[in-house]
Amino acid sequence: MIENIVFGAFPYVVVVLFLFVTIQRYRARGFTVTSLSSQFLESRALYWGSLPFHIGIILLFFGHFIGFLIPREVMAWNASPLRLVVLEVTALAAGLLALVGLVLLILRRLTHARLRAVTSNADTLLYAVLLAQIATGLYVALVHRWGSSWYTAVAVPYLKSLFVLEPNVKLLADLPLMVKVHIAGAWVLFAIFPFTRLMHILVAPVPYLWRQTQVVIWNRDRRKLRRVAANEKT
Amino acid sequence: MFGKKCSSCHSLGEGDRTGPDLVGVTKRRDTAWIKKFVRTPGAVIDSGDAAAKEMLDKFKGVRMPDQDLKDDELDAILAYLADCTAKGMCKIATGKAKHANEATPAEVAFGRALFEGSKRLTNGGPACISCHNVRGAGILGGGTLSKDLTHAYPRIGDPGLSSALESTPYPVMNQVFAKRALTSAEAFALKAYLADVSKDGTSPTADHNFLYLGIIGLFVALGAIGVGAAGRLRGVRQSIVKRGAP
Repeated sequence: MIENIVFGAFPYVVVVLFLFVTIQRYRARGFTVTSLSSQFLESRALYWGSLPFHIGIILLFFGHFIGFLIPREVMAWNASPLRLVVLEVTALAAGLLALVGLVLLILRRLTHARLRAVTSNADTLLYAVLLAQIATGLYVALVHRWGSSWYTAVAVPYLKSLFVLEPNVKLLADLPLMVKVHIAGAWVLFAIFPFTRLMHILVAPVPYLWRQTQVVIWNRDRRKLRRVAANEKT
Repeated sequence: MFGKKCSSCHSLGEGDRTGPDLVGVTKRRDTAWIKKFVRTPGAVIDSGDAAAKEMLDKFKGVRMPDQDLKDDELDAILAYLADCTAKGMCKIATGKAKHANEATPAEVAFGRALFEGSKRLTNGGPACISCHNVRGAGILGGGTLSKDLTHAYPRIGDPGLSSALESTPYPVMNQVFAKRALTSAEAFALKAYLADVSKDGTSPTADHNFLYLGIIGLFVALGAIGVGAAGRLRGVRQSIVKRGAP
């Protein structure tokens, strides 16, 4: 019963919430759609936290997404035991990288007073959900291993059943508890997405990678400006 | 129905297997209890039911998987069981599967290729290694979502394994293989491979090589990030503050 709610109904609530609140926030309060970077407040620990976390989480996100888009090709890749190991070890390393990065980011938030000052409740919630999601993901990867293979056989048909509006919760009914928690956690993450700084994913400055370089040249007379400022004081 | 769903674990008049002989079950227990137990054996056992507890002890803690049966299917099976009880025994059609002893080395090798996935299953089902481990499978072993199958052959027995492979009565497998059943040649090759693996009676050893490889990968990535840190632009202020410090 509870599974029908969590895996059958909740995903649709999440999708509606996600689309409606995201669009509304972008239209009404567009300037809040940002990563709220704290690089100016602290940059050294940020580098060692943010970079590993983002590299890991982006690899994992696309891993899950590609498995969903082309499950057959993933199965064909995994047909060779060596390729299976290469894929699984890469994914595990990405998971560990994301965990190390996130733990560092959390410690950084806790130890710097100026960062605590700019940390909102939404940030705290997001850190908690992300940490839980990465921890359950690593648990599943290690204890119920070769997820890259069984994901295509068990989870992908479930996700597809949601898309065709015939949710097949039975596919998940007998899976180990941690797998279910990980799937439910993913829906929670999507649900809180529009209320948090996760919104920055949607406005990632991707064209930055290939746009023309811009050279900034100041052409105001700084000496004159200083003179003006000095005159105003006296 | 019985041959497809039940006969991997239950006989009709040939004695107990993984589960009890079902001749006489319709006299032993009342119909409502059987229906409830067949659909949700785990829940009945956990509810502290005395008869279920007694069976669990008798069959060495092996729990029957939940059976997803419609009302008319369950009624049909019960009618069949009542009929067999009246006759004293029934012959089950699936009993005629070839014994694993008759497999050629080529068939065992074919079974291994199917298990590991290097040969795809005809109807598109996922390879066994995705969820199951067997001693010596793959490079770091098989999956651990589900049971280790190294000793599945002696555990379920020859005819039982045949019917388990062909009808996949376990809950998750039932969903996954519903429209992608194994062919009988594939089922036989897999049975032959599992029989071959079980000849060495020792348990497979667990290692942590997968975790260690992941940790190596982690440090390689952190090393690359460290190299990136060396050539990174820094604010002017940081170095001034450092120089100014006593």
